[in-house]
Parts: sequence; structure tokens; C-alpha cells
Amino acid sequence: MKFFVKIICAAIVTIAAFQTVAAQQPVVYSDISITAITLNAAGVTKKVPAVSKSITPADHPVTTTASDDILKCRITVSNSSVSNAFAVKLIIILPAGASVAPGTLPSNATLISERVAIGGGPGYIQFDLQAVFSNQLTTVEFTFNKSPNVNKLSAFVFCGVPDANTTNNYKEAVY
Amino acid sequence: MKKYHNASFVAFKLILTLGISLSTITIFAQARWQADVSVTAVTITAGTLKKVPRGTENINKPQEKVVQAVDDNLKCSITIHNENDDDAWGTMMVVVLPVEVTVVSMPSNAKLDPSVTATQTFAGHIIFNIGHMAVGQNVTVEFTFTKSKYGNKVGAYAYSDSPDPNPANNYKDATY
Repeated sequence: MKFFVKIICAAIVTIAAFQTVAAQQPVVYSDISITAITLNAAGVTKKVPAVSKSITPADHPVTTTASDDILKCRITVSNSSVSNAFAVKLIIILPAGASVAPGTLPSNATLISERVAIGGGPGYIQFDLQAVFSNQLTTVEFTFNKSPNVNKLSAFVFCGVPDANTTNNYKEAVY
Repeated sequence: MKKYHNASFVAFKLILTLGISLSTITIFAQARWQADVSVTAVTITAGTLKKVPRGTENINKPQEKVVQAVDDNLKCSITIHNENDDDAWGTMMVVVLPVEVTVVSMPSNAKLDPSVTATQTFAGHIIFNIGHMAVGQNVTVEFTFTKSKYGNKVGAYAYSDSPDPNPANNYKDATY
């Protein structure tokens, strides 16, 4: 009899402990973040022969490089939480003097600039990423015409699900 | 003598033309006009104040009342600023809310994230439409939300249509 009482008491204590832990955890939350931004040359590829005084052709290897008048930006967004993140939006501020060629953005991206027509600046790009599932990542890419000035680009991500850690939602990169 | 006068006049005209051309080139080479939008302050305080009686040992003395903050709801105040050499056009601000909070009040230029419904009242973020900001202008917005059980950090990110020379100061957060 005592044994059964002990078992029941132990079960009650265990259930209470689980309930306490569960009560301390939010029901639904996400931790959406920008894990990487890279900027690389993505213009027309050109062949560049190595400079050498040697008359042997093998000493003049030709390498193919992309010109950097066009830059490709790649941004990785992650969700490191147990909940899925919905209505995920990514804002990218373009550098001054840069421009986006018409029709080059992915279908889920919109260029927002009220004043681009009057030379007021490139504006910003808004990506509608919709959902980033639990412990998954998604990557977006786009190209833009390089700025003659500093090519610093910044991005901020947010979503419709409460975010447990907003500090990692912002990142920037310089070419 | 007249020849010398003519020569100096031509030289003067040449220098003037060169000067104007150089100034024009400098203006166009100046990285375009830029607006440095930044979030300068995020403060979170108790949402309401109420008068409560102060405890006293002397029962003959009338009870004094003191003002006490009640933090069931929290008030968040965010200030953004525009600096540099151009106005910020189409300025927006995203405010990421703490986990499991409901927005109690917000101004008319604020829009709650669309995932909030009658059954799912917890909000992920608020978007403020700030609009045009002149150089040197400050704008402060305020809103109130229910206090979270899981930490009350609010993160704010401001951005505009105008190019920004220093995007690192566009984000700021604060914890209650």
C-alpha cells in the first residue's frame, strides 16, 4: 500500500515539475536572424592573363574574373527556434549611388523608392519571405549596379511571430 | 596695353569656367545626398501610475498616499533622428515586440502586424509610418503593451527611402 502511495506522490511531483517548466516557456515564439550577408562581383566575366616576363606560355595562365560593376548580394535568414516564423519580411538598405536594374529582382522582392525617378537615391528592397520553418534557413540573392562610393549594405529581418532575440535581426556588409 | 587687358580677361573667364565645372563635378561626385536616420533612444517604463497608501505605525496620523508605478502594462517611447545633408523621405520604423504581449494602445500612424487576430492576440511587431523627416528633426513615438512574462526587450529599426551613410545606428533595443 505504502509503495503505491509513494508511486502516486512521485507521479504528482513529476507532473507538477513539468507543468512549472511548461509555464515558463512561451507558447509560440521565433528567433529569426540574419546569419550571413555576402557581396561579390557579378558583372561580365573577363579573361585576365598573368603578367610575367617569361616567354613560356605556361607562365601566363589566364584567369577568368567577373567585373565588379555589378554586385551580387546573398543574404541568409535563419530561424533557430521551435516555432515556425510566418510573415517574414527582410528590409535591405542599398548604398548611396547604387541602382537596381529594372526586372532583375526576384519575384518576392519589391524596390521601394519614392524619389528614384528624380535621382533621389536607390531606396530599399523589401523581400516577402513568407515562412521560415523551425531550425531552417532561407537564402535570397539579387544584383545591383555598384555605387561609385562606399558599397555598404544593411539588412533587417522581422516576422509576425514574436521574436525572442531581436539583437541578431540586423547585419551589414561592405564590398 | 589693351592686348594685356584682353589676355587677363580671357584668363579670368577661363578660371571662372574651370571653377564652375569643378564645383559641378564635386557636387555630383559627393555620393549623392544622404540622410542618416538613427534610433537615438528606446525607453520602457511602467504603463500607469496610481496613488497607494503609505504604511504607517501611527494609527492616529492620517494615512499618506504615494505615487507608485504599476507595470502590468509597459509604455515604450522611441525617438528617431535624421542627420547629414538630406531629408529622409518615406521614413518607416519596425518595432519588434517581446514574446507574448498584446498592444494596448498605439498612435494612428502605427500598424500592428497582420498575424494578430481575435484568437491570436500576441503581436510580433508594429510598423510606424513616420514619413518625411527634415535634417536635424527628431520624432518620438509612444505605445503601450502588456508586460511579458519572458523578458521585455523591444527592438526598433528605422529606415527611409533616402540613402543612409551609416546604417549601423538604425537599430536600437532596450529591456525593462
